[in-house]
Amino acid sequence: MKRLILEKYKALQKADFYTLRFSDKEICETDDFIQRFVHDLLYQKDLSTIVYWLNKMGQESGTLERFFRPEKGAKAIPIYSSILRLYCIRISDDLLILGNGGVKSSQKVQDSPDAYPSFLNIITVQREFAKRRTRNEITISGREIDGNLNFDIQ
Amino acid sequence: MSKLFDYALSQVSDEVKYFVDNSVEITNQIHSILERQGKTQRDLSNLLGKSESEVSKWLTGTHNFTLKSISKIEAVLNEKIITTPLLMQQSFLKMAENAIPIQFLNFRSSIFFPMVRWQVNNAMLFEVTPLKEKETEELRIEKDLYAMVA
Repeated sequence: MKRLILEKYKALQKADFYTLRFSDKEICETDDFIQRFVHDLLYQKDLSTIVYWLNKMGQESGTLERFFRPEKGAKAIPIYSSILRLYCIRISDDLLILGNGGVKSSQKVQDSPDAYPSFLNIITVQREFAKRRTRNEITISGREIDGNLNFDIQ
Repeated sequence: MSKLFDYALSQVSDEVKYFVDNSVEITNQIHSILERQGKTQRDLSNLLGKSESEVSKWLTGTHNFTLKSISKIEAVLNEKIITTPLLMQQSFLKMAENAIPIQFLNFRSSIFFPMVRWQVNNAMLFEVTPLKEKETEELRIEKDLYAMVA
């Protein structure tokens, strides 16, 4: 059993980003994703697109529903023209939880060994997050998420 | 707060920035036209003869639009989606040629040029509200500074 902790990642003009971090790791999941690809020539452009796009949403438009690819309750970016996927949970136009991601090397994410574990983690967190919100164990006030922000992953 | 995110952001090439900016602007423009024409994404997909899910993917940002697909969308919506700085300049100049000054509204200051309300084909181009005393004073100082530099 591993534990993911939800914590603030970035506060921008139009939206705040949260991220997830394994309790036994120093680096958060989103930074782990960036670190893995930032110097990889094969994926550098795709990573740049994701990072620039995220920053643009955060600074200019907010995290509008239409900007994300639906992924069984969670979301992914970018929608098109990239084999990298970053998984996330869109809460509102000004609140986004970023997870980890990976190389989507096949049509079905189940067949993409690099991306699949991150996909499973975000789906698990998204479901638990939604349950806790309905039970008021997690509350959102403005751009702040409060409550039980620890998520146990099998 | 993530320094790695900021580092990755600093490494983004101009090409990627232009790509994302262009794609998002095109997408926003299509959304705006659809809204104005009272159409939905489903209407657009029907007009294009494409599946709704495909058109939905196009309209999310970061889609690599081709000139062919843009032209097709322009044709079915009967409106331009993209323009160029040169075209904008030409259309502005054409509009300015037809403009008629109809009324003096205010002087930004006693020294500065008068601001004019323009009317083109009965459409208001711009209108200036009277300046407050403080703003007039700021403009005077600004003008004096400019004269010193010049």
